[in-house]
Amino acid sequence: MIIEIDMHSSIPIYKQLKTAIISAILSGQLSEDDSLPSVRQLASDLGINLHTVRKVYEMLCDEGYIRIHRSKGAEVCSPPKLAKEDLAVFESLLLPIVIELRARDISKEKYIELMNQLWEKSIKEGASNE
Amino acid sequence: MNSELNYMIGIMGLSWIVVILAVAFTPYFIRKNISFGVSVPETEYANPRFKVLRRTYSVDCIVVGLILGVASSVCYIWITVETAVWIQLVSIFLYLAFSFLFYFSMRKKVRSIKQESDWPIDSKAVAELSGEKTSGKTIHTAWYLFYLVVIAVAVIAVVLKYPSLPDQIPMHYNIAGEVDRYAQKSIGIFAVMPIIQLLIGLMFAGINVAIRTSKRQRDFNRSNAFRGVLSVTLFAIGCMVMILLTCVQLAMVSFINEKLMMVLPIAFLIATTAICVYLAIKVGQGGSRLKGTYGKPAEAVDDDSHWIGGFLYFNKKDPSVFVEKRFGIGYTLNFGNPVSMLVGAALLVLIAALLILPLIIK
Repeated sequence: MIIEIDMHSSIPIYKQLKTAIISAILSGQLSEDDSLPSVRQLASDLGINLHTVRKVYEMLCDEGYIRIHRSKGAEVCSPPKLAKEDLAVFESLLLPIVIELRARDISKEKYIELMNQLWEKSIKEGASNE
Repeated sequence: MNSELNYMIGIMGLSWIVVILAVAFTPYFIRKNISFGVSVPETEYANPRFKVLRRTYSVDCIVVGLILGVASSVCYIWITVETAVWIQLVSIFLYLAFSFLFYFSMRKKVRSIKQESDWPIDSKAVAELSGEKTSGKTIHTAWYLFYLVVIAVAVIAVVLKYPSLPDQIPMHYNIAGEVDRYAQKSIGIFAVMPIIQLLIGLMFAGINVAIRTSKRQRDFNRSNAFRGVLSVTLFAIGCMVMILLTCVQLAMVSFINEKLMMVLPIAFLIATTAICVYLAIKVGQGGSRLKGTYGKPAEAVDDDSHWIGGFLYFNKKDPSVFVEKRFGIGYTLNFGNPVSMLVGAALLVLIAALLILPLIIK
């Protein structure tokens, strides 16, 4: 499957890459035990720093999405379950966004509607990237 | 002497035809979404304005090539062969300089067309996320051990024959297959060829690694297929070079007929040309002309800002060393990467060694 990184986006490259890989796993385009390209190959194809790709692989490994073999490289694991401490991390990531949206007078209904839209979008995006 | 003259004119004429074909038809072998080093939408390949530019470039290159080629080949009749070879070399460089001029004048026109059109600019970086296909079926480096076998054949032959060889070793043959230069028998003159073969073998194995680690274009299926084809072709051409050089060595110790040595280089030249023509017409740069289950070609990513003059890649942020050429078939270096400087230096040293070694035995 093909992933795209927008070099001129305000979202950091590592975040885009991480989201793209998780999205591919979520949609089933990368299934368990599939191998990922080598750090060097992926960085070379994208034209981005080797450290960026390595960092993303390490983050994904820590979070349980992939495992890194010394010889075979990176492979997809079964998707990690959401643990209690993980949930706390996501809460702390979401809270500033909720506060900023409220500061700009968004209603609770509008916020929930937005969340629903994003939920659907995440399903569609995973399916369209073939 | 007259037949040697014809032989030389024949070889030179053949080389000119190969050079002219390669230079003049380059715009047709490369990716359709790159026109004279400028990235354009794939559909614009059929644009009549671009068609005219391509045709003008080809016609100009053929006309100038024919004039220079005929002029420099015919001059063998009046001057010594050695001077004529120099004139040939200078003419070929002159020809490449002319083709550069034509390239730049066409490039200027393409850029102005691009400026006045509002084509969507896609500067997204893309990658393929499946691991098993990433190396694109290039052949394994271990295959190159076969070259050692070919080299060993020559070495063993020399070792077996050395004691029974005469003091004077034939070094050069004329067209009639008669020896016209001898050298004093020594281990040195037989050691040079295996060293040259080793260096060439090393270079081929290195290029194979370069193919495997090259940056792929958005058209991943084709990029992968291209790598595979190129890797196999490279190995085959390398085999031919190795066998040819081993035959030269075998002829030196009169294991094979020297008449055969007149035919082999020409056969090699024809075979290599045929392979290159096949690559250009059936495969195309980056596999862009491959037909079959590759789907429709993907649009290129517009990274023109990193291409100096449209043909020199300079991108400090890109960790790639080998990238697809934009005007021609094969790969070029990312000059923004310090590793490329090392690779370039190594290549220069290798070429220098290959040029100097044969001079030592003289």
